[in-house]
Amino acid sequence: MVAAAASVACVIGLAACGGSDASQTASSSSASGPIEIEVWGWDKNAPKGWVAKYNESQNEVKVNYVLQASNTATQQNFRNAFEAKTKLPDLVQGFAPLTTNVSNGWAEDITDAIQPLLPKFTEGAKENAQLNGRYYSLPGAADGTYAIVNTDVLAKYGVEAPKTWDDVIALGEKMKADGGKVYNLAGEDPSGFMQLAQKAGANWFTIDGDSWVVNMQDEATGKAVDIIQELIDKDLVSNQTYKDKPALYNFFDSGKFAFTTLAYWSATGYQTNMPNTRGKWQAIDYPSISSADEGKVPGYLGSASFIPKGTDRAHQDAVIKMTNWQNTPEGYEAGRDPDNGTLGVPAGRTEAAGLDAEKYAEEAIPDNFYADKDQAKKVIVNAAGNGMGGFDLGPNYDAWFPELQDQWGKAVAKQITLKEAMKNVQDFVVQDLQAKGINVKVA
Amino acid sequence: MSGKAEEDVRENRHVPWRILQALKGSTFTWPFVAGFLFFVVAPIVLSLRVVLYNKQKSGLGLGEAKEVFVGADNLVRAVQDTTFWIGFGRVALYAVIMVPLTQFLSMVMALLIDSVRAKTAGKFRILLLLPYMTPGVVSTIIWIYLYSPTTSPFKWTGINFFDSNLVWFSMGQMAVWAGLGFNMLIMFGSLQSIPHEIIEAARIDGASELRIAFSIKVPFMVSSVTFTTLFGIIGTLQLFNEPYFFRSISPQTITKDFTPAMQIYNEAFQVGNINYATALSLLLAAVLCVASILLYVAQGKVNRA
Repeated sequence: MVAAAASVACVIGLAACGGSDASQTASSSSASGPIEIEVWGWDKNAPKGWVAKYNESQNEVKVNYVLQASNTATQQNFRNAFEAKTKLPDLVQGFAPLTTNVSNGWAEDITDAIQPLLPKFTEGAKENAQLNGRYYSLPGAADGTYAIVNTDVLAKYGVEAPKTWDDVIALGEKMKADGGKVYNLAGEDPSGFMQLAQKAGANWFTIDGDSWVVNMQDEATGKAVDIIQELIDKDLVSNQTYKDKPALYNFFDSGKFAFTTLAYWSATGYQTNMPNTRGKWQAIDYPSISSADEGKVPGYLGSASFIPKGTDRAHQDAVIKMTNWQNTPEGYEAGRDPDNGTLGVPAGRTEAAGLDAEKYAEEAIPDNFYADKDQAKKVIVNAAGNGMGGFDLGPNYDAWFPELQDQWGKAVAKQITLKEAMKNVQDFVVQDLQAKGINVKVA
Repeated sequence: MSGKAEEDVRENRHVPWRILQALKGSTFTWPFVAGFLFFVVAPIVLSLRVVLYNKQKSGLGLGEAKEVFVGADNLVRAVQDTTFWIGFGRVALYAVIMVPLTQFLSMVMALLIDSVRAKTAGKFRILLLLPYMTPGVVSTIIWIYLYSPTTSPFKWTGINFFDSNLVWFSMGQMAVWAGLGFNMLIMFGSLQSIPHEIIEAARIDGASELRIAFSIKVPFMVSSVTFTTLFGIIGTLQLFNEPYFFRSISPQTITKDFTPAMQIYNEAFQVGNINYATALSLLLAAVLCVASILLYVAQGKVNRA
């Protein structure tokens, strides 16, 4: 039904729908007026916000924003339109990782068109948009990960804020005597472990010629595995689920919990729901594992905005022009939420974009949460600008992530070791890729 | 029959009026039949084609997959899939406990409601049906708060409903809560059809309320109990919502393919192998069909005995 509705919409507003249709290419190449592009996404403020402002600000590109109900709805509608071979939009807000988009044949190779945009993005953000040296999505970076630590707990045990994961473990051992837990490992969420592996230098999916190389048991992953295993074996961690937020907040706020990793937007929820520890959290850089990875900020991108396959070059260029504007001070400001006035901290941008990350961090930091707001601002700006890139999730992420969740849950519950879990996941990946006819090698 | 209808019957002398009347009556079922054809029969027919193909990629697997004819490969793989049968065993065991329990509790509720005044009965009927009318998402949120070790009103008991050893109990409780009202309503309906004079005669003969319940009311409920049991079994073997909810709470126990329905969901919408998911769906449907027939035959024998 949705696909049918979408296709009807496309038939009615022919010029508004992107694609490689010959008549469209002709119309877009004629200089008779602005080139029209269709963008799908679920930003409810977009149509009257940045889209309207962009359309007013220039007359080369006219954006038609088709508001989707949600991330899931966008995914379903896009899949339907793709399967039904109806006209596709010119840009889709990301709902799946880069390689999934390419693997499904959804994303266009935009290496040529994207060039004007690249100076505005960091190396990490650019790596996140590339597969095998070609660009298949708009550049982007995960909101930088950092950590917070409870200063009361630090004072109680007379220690400094942790700089390394060894420091975290040492703090956990001190807390253990009093029944405290240093860190939380939710049984359903292995993403923190994935970040730790990335920080250690792991790269689970790489390409070698015509074959994928799966590498989930290398030395780097092993370092992350050892840290987590030690935390589990020594009973230094809690296992609060993110599905039961009241319980999680309650424990984090109990004074018996020391340290967690986060992105800046989590702090607002913590500030509201953790009244006892307000103003006691010190922001710190993501702890390092060894001197080799000092200063590196992990963060992989679970969803990449892409230009659908078959979009012609003129429409690609129009999308890039629009994205370029969104990465100017004026364009970025246009994205401000009219209801609550918020605007995120820009991640993965270089100075060429001209965005004042400090100003936006200042706005995004809740009052009375961090022990030292200025210092928190520095940590957040650093995390936003220095995110690592290129942690490829492979061509079958949707298949192996639930398997990793299963195995991770077992490891956290001490049913198996994390090392065994990673072997099981790697075996699963290899088997799944082979079943799909995809070349795969084990590193 | 209205005058117009009689006229129609007379005009169509070749068609006996009974058949004509039956045909006219059947028009009331058209909306249902249309929906049934479109949403049940058509997908099954389409699935028969899907199950014969597989999507195959090559090289790095980038770009659209090619469709390859594989014959019965998917079905053979499904029949040999131990994960599927282990999951099926799980839900079957769960059904053995849950279905009779739900039926028994529903029956008790129906009998209790039947024994009070109509006005009181009406209130309780609505109350018991509320869980059935509550959308799944809403009831999940309710149960998170009821079970949460932090917010639960039952936390004084010291029971952690999120504990992986208690998962089955916690899921069962949710299922009974959701299913009780519907079953009760069907059974209560059959109680309403018991001729009043039978019950009155029993009372005059000096039968107690308990005796009336066991000797008159329960036998009258058998056909509706057959119906609700069948629905209960089919629903339970397709168990999805409750374990899906508990997956995030207790992922070490509730794996991604914990029940057949979860495995099918995972294959179709996570792994993206629609072809194999279809094979598993057809297998599950076939097993359910056989189970339903067996139950029907068995209950028929019980009824005759």
